[in-house]
Amino acid sequence: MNRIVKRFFIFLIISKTCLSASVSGLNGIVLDSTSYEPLIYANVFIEGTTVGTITDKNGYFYIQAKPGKYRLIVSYIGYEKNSTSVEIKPNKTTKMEIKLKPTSVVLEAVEVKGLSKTPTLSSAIFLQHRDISVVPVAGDKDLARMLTTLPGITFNNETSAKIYIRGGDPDQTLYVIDGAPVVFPSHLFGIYSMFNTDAIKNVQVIKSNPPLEYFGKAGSVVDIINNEGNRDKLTGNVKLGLLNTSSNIEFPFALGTMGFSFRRTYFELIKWTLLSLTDDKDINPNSGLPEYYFHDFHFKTVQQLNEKIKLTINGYKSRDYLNNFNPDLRFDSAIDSAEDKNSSNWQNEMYSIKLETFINPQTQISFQYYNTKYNVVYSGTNTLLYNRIPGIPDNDTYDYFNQFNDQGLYVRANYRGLANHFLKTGLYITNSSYRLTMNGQFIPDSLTHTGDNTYISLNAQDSWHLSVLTELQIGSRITFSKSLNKPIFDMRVVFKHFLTERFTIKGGLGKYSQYQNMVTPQGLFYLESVDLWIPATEENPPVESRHLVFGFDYKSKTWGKLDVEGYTSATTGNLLLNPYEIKSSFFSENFSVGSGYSYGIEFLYEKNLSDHYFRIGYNYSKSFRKYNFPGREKYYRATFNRAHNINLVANVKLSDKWVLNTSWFLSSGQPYTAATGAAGITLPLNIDVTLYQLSGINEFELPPYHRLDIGLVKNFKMLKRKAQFEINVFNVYNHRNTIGMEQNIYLMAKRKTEPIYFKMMPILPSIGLNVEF
Amino acid sequence: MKLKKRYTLICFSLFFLYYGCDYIDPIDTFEPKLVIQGYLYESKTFSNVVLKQTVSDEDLLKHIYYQENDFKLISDAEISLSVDDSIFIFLTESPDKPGRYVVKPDSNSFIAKSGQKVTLDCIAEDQYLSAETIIPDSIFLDMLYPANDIYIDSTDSVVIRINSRDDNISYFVKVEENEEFGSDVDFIYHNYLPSKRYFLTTNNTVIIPNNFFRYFDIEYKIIILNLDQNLFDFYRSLTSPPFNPEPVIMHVMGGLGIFGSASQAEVIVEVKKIGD
Repeated sequence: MNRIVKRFFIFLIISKTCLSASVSGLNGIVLDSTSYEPLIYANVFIEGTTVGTITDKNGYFYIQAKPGKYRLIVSYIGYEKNSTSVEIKPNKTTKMEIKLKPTSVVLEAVEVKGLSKTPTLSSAIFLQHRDISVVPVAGDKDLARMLTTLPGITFNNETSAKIYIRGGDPDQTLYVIDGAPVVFPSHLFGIYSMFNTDAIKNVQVIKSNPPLEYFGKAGSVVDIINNEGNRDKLTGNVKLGLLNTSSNIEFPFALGTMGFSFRRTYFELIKWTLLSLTDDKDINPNSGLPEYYFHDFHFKTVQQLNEKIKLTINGYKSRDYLNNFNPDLRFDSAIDSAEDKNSSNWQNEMYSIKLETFINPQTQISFQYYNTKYNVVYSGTNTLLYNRIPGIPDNDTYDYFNQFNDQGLYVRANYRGLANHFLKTGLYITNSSYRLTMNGQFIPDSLTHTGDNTYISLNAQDSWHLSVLTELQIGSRITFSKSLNKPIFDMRVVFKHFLTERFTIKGGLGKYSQYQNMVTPQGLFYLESVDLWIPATEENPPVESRHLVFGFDYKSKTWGKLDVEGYTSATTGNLLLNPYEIKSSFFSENFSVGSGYSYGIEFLYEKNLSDHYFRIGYNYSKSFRKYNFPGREKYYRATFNRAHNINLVANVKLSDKWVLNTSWFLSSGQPYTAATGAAGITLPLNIDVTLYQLSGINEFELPPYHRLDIGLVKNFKMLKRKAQFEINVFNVYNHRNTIGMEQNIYLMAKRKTEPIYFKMMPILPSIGLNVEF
Repeated sequence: MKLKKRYTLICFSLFFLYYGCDYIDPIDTFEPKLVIQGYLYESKTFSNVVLKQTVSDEDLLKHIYYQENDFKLISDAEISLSVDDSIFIFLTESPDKPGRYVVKPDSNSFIAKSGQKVTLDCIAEDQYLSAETIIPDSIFLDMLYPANDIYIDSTDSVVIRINSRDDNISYFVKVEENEEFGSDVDFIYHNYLPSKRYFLTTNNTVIIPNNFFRYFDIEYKIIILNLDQNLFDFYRSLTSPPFNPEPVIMHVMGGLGIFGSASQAEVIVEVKKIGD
């Protein structure tokens, strides 16, 4: 430990020496000329040279160059190109503020020849607000659904907002809002976005091998940056839809800006949609149909305290309510029970305070405190219809509570003063705690567990430009914790090389650790929709994951952009909450530890023109899991794994007023375990039961999944303000995709004449009106 | 022309992909498997083993409709038991009950003792099946006070202590109302409490929920089985929903079913209301 502290101080001394170095350069910020919002990842380069960069998440850039007179070119998709004369003086940094004017014509960014000096990311996709609008949806604009149109990102079913990125479990994706983690934002039924997209400015998705400044998860990253707000005037919008309403407001405030956004659904209407989920004859008219709604709220203020210090305070809160939910609704009416009632509510909240400062033009330091919380309450009464032991008490009344709280302090420093290097380092101190209580027929009396853990993590990364055409990124991270008996090391290496101006090869590998796990109860059917979060402890070691990525991309103005990547990953320490029952000895008897691996190849082709955008993505992927639990000791296909996925997205500007959005999915069916036969067994004490002859776990595949969604947007003026009227049709040709196959013995028999599938959403039209002010 | 070629290629690829997503109905893959059903009770004479085959869904429904549980019984099997890998017992089919296999009449009867490892081997229908069990310890119930009368109010559970060498046993409980009670003369109301090891982690105490005792002032028979690992796993994994079934843990190689052992204790109690 002393050695590590000593080395850290040596690093600080060296850093101090570096910080005092004086070099010639150019630094500044790139802004939207109307709202004064900083523009992220705008291209900035000196004309006629290979010197250039892209702006960071705050819109800042820094270029080191020899003294002289130059022309600086700044470009960004959707904005007019800016060309400015600039003089760089010896041993001085010239400051600039560049404003780009938005244009209605979609222009591609002009890119610097050679590499920028902000680290490039493999497996990363950067999305602007308008990219999210390209995908037609049934409800409001949906980030999760937009993401699933990208290769390598898939969903379990239409009723869930959980996404699976490159074979990782949903809990292996880190969601970050303005630098602070959110535990697990999700809403039911998959119709609603996890976040209010009105508040979102940019999203960066890193599918694997993410940089080490992202802490705590072993897989992918969804990094969301919310609008900073309009620095010039009050702006916003109000949106009215069939199922929800939302609004967003931004205005200048004190030394900067402030913005709020709010959303509330009236999803209680979904009852009628749910009625059509199953055939009329299977519905018990006495069944309690669910009532569901949620609201969420985003808040952000950015205050420029002085020329060098920026303060950002932001928050997010969402709460979902689900009442009168009867999980038996989907089954045969003859054995359904009208008395079954379940209710649940869950909430996410996060707030953070960030202070950013420039010590000098090359050195930026930020301090961020965050506090994020997730809790879920689930309770109800169920008739145990499918218990195969006759005579077990008919009703089970239960209640369940889980809370996960994570807070921490992030200190980050970026340094661009060394030629051909961009150094990043961070010190993270975080604390996670959880509480779980369960009561019920299959749960010992008052199962209550609490725990907490503190982590101290140091990371250091360098983006090293070996030449104009080759970049190497290396980084490492060490994490200490009071409940882990040894420090944990992570590392990452990424390279990128331009073979030609258009053709780039890239690759990377990394090792990551995860300190929060989500498990879902198996076998206790009424708890299967509940997620349980626990932090890593001594008996629950962190999940470890190893990533390998390789690929190439090809860009051409006439041909478009093709991105091809192959990947493989392996994880250990995956957790399974044991099926069948929950016992009082919390970890050792309730959880099984396992491992998994995934591999795949992805193709993404994009073509962006002034009046249309077209994207086609394909991926082939396989994901496997195994656990130290009887019957699961050998690798089997993960339930979410669809081997082939193809997604088409097209956005066509039909006229000045009308825009057509379409997306089409085709993928293999999900794997499932099938009952093919059965036998009668008499157990001791003369108990007759039916024993099913099951296939291997997930040995079979459901029928293929396909769906077409279409959206039509009309731009017009309403009360002298910009407005959009939207018509969206989800599942246009009403293909009832299969979520699963019934294994009930009575229904199995009926399968000789008709397949007994549980179907997902039918055709679902929706309309919405958005007015900007 | 180039554009036409490109779209043709895309359409062809999609068509190929769609039909490449192969779908197989699992029902069409059904192949019958052997099913064994056999139990050994500590300190009791071995009874029999039943051998069956699984049936397809259609046949199964027919049998369930007629409330039959023993169907598709298999005859002419070769079944043997080995005790601690040293004593071999060969079973023969009962002449009046096809599919049931008993100890050959000329052999000595077999009484299972705690700690013994008993292995079953079976060959039938060109399939081989095997399973093994370790006979659990005997159990005794503490004397209940006085004269096995239990006084509870309308919310109390009934608590019974088990005496055993093992502090961590798996048990299964059955509670039966007296057959001759009141108007329910012909109806045996029984509830089962699934085996839950966690009740016994600190002391060998069975807690029977209050709703197992519907009436006061009548006798109840409480039967407690101390289960081996096979039966314990089988019982606990039966409570799985049909929609996405979890495999039942059977510990049978080459087939389905259960071959397990248990020790049994029982007590008759009369439940009375506090204050009476």
